Amino acid sequence: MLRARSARVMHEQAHGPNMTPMVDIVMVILIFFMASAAIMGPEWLLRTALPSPKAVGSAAAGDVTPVSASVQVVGGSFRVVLRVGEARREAGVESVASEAASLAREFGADRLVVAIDADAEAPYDAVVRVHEAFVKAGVTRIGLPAPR
Amino acid sequence: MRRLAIHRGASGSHINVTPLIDVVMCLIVFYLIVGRLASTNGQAVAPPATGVGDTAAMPRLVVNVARSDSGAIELSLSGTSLTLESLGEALRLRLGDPPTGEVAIRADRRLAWGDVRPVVEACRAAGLSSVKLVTERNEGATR
Repeated sequence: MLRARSARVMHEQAHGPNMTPMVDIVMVILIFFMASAAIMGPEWLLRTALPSPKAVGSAAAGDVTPVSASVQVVGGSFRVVLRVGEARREAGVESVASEAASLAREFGADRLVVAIDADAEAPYDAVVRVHEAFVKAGVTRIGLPAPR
Repeated sequence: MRRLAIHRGASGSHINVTPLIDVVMCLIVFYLIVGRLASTNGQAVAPPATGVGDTAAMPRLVVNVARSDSGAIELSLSGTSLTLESLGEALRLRLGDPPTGEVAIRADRRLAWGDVRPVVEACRAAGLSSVKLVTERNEGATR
């Protein structure tokens, strides 16, 4: 015991502490965090339907409530115009979430079919935020219709 | 002499595999980082941040849309740069007819909808019935 201890002390005096186990453990921790970050990912995916014009027409005829959400640029700012049948509501991008939740409560989230459209100058970020608002409201059928 | 060394190694001590583990770990880290960088093809794409989204695995085909320093729109399909005109054909080649598989669109948040819509229309023209929009995870979003 004494001899073994003195041998270790002599080795450490000559070569310094053994760094190999620490390097191994740090590497394993590093790989664990990188792998978990790769699996979890910093990104999310929003599934968006690409309906054909024919499909849009059949959706309007079925037992669903079509909603048109249009991001329009007016002057320097933009607004979201929501149309449900003949009814028309306007919202800012900040308040579209509450409007979407209100529509979902009124008509039922599972019955809403949302078509998002936007002016060419509208920010892509605003389009995604409108999409996000309806996803948060529980709507699953959201799409980007073909331009007319 | 060689036989003696092997004999002594087998009976008295084990083969030291620590350097091997260290080198393998370094290689794994290297390839993880390179793979991560290669997936974005070096483009600085900052997708819009959302508080919700699907955590499913990223589709095999990812279209990156970004604006270059010169102001032009740059497209890449899973790391390969291409033009908007060739995107539809590239998607049809990779997805087949009828298309099988999914496509994700990772577009920069600073772009206008008019910059992204042609990519969406190319996916529609390739026969896809849906795409996935890539967003940045922002669970703390209150909007």
